[in-house]
Amino acid sequence: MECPSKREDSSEVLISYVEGSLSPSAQIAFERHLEACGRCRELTAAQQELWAALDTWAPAELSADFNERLYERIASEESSRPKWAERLTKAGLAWQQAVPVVAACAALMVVFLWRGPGTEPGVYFGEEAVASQGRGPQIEQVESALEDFEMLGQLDFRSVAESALRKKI
Amino acid sequence: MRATYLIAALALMLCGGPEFAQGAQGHRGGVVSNRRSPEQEKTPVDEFERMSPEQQEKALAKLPPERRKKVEAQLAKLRSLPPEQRAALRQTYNRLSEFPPERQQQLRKALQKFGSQPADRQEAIRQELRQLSGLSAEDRAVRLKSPEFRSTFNHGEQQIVRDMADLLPAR
Repeated sequence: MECPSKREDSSEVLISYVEGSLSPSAQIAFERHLEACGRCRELTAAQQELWAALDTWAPAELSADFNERLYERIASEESSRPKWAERLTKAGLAWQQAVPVVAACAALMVVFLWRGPGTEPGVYFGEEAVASQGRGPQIEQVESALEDFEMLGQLDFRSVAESALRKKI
Repeated sequence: MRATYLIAALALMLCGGPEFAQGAQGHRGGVVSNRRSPEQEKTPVDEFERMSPEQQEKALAKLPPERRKKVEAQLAKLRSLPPEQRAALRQTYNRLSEFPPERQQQLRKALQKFGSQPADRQEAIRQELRQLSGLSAEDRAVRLKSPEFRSTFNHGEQQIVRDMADLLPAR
């Protein structure tokens, strides 16, 4: 496996590994890589520490008069609201309506920035990607597929399929 | 307000867009593409076999010696299989790949359990799978609930057969 710390998308692989969202074969490949790569072990440990810290983080408790002060502030800001904002509101463009639009745009940006073909960590690159990137499948994926082939081979599905064919005839 | 919901829905559809598009082109996957006809030789192993000897050597060189040796032995074994047996294996692999990752892991565990059964029980399970492969989906379900099936196999074996039945070609 190519060392993720030397790749541009290194953080993606590490984050996906720590959050447990790598595909099983990619996870196996990365764990094997971790055994041999001290740099990636360090980065992974740091990432895990960060996540652990976030898990233990608790928000500060709100003061008893928080809501009261908040409503007061909203009221004071409403009264000092610029006229252009009022006009927009009157025209039907309330901020509540803008939220889904902004969210949609953000989602689109994230999707197209994050998911280019063949950029997902540990994915199997197909023919087109091979041609365009000049690389084949990662050897760990070949290894993993061969393991599957070997396990499936013990079922002898050929004889199973032949049996089904004979019954059809 | 309705228009904004429409925009949000469109965005959600587009979020799935690249995946659908790549799936249709047959070159995306966690491990392999989920949309692919069984005839297509697009497993990672097939891709590897299509690489030049130099590229293959370069890829194999990334593995530690023991793992490399194992991969080479597995490749040699696979290459020695008759084409129809290899095709059957590929089709089964492709069916396995079409399941969600969690289910794939369950099926791999079932395969491991199958491999750890005594030879005579393995043969009994194979025999059952041969029988199931000739049945329609409905008849398979009936068979798997039948008293005969339950009396032939113990609980663990029944589960192996149920899991492996998912890998059988549809009839």
